[in-house]
Amino acid sequence: MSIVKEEKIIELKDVSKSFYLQGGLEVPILHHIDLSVYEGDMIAILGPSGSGKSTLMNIIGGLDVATSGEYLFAGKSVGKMSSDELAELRSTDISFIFQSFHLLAGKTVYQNVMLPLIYQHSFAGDYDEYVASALKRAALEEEHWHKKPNQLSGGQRQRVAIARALVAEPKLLLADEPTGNLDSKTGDNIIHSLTYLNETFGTTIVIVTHDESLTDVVHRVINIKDGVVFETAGKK
Amino acid sequence: MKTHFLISESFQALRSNFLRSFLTIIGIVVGIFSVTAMLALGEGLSSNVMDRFSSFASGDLSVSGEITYTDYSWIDEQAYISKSLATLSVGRSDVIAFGTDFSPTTQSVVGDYEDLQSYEIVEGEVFDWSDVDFTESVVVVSDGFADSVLEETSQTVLNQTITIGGQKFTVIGVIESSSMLFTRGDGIVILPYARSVGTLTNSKNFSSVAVLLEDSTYFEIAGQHILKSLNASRQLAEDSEEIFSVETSQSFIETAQETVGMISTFLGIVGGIALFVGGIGTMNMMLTTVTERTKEIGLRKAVGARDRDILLQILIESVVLTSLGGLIGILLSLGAAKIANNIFADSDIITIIINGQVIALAAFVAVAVGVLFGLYPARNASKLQPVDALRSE
Ligand SMILES: Nc1ncnc2c1ncn2[C@@H]1O[C@H](COP(=O)(O)OP(=O)(O)OP(=O)(O)O)[C@@H](O)[C@H]1O
Ligand SMILES: [Mg+2]
Repeated sequence: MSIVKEEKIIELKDVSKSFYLQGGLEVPILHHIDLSVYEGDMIAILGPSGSGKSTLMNIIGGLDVATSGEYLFAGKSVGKMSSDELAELRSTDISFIFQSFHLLAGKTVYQNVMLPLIYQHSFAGDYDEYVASALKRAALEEEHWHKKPNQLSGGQRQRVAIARALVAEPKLLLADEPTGNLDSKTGDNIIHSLTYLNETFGTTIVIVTHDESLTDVVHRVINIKDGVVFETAGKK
Repeated sequence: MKTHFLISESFQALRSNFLRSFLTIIGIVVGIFSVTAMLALGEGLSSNVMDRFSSFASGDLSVSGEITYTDYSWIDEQAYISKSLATLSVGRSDVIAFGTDFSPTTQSVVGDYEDLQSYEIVEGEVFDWSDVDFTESVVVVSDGFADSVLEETSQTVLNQTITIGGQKFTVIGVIESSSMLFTRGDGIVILPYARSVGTLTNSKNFSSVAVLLEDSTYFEIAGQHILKSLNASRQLAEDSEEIFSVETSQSFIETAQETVGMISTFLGIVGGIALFVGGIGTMNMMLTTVTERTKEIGLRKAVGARDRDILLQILIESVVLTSLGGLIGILLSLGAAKIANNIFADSDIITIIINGQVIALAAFVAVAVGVLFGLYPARNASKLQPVDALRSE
């Protein structure tokens, strides 16, 4: 069991998000969200399709910005960050596991996993060592390392995506529908790896899902409906 | 991102679009080829060609027109003239040696041949160039003619008889000159003046008179004086060029310069257009690439790429593309220069010089085109918002 620390890694204060359609029509998606996540926690964000889960995730991950309200990452206001600072945040502190993997088709598994490292200009470690270690933690067998993504099964690709998320040793791991398109066995394996990461390395993990069964493995469950959040108990 | 990653990334991207990349760089290849050719011509002219042109325009002045023997004598007597040479074009194309037809330039010369066409005797002897009463049936030939005969008939022409316009002549000498006059076609056959006039040609007039001045700095005044006097003897206006014209080696060089300048300008325009079209092609390709790879760019940003990493990546891709085009263009122009220099090697008309400076300038142009036309697509790519880019399909 991992130790949930005192420090807030994510703190959303009254965050709202709207999209603007062509012609200026405002489409509000997230409404006045307050949410705190502590370092070392593992939570699930649960909600029906279209409720704004991915939108929330993108804001937390620094890929998108809130329309109003404040988002603090480890105490720093993300809304005030320059595009370089956001890039730095995504490079060293936060990693994504995307629902659709987003692996680069032209590159090998190995090159895909290395990608986040080549954008870390302060990276001084050994590329091979980091990539190999990430792939091992994601439990991808070595025989697959030099294949292209299209030569892998869905579950193997998912593990590549996980390895890529781990390679930079982030503080926060965001997984958007990590079990979405997978059979239940592969899905279980992935949840198992995420739990392992959280427990072994204390990585904070936020999982977005509409899979109710995940509520059993996480510490907290955040429900989102029509852009409003409310909390229900997790297994903790 | 570290530079070696950037470069290998761009090569990988270009390789995966090999055909499209190849087609795109053709414009750049043509453009750089033309630019290199333009620069090389300029270089060749400035460093090498000038000496050759000056040796071609032997003498300080060359008078052409229908020059009578009296005109020539008058020119020769002028105090400012040091040496002179009058040339009569015999213009017989029916020259036969050992039963084979040849078409050398046939001419007669009067005056200081050795001073105006510094030649060397290869074999045999020459007759007295200034003896205008010499009527023997002998000729002196250029090495070009002797070589042609040897090549065609495998026989040496020296001391043998050749037929010109049905009349027999004995070849008494072979001479050689660095001047390009000796290199055209089947070379030159020189007949005694008194022998060709009346029997082989109806005209007694010389077609040109080349002169050396006592002081060549006065070439302009001397030229004007000669033209004025010759025109006066024909009741023509002072500066008329109806019958006579006077060319200075200076004006010859100017003409050559103008011609090469025109070729250079033409190549420059062609090169400029090709580079512009190639640049637009590059830009188009990079815009397409950016659109196709929107998702990839979004992902790169999501894993930590800064705007400037993306900008550099696209820019380097564009520069690698145009540099490859430039490289091929430079290699092609080196090849073409070699071929051209081989073709013109005998005539010494022109040498095309592609030196380090020319290559460096051409390479710079190729890189500059890549930067210039890659900047807009690269900026577009770098400004993509990661969420929007990842959502694109
Ligand atoms: N760029 C956008 N412009 C306009 N509307 C958008 C945009 N992105 C998302 N939306 C809308 O916001 C709402 C929430 O989208 P979001 O992707 O966050 O839902 P979700 O909860 O992740 O759904 P799912 O479970 O299906 O993935 C949807 O109604 C969607 O149409
Ligand atoms: Mg979603």
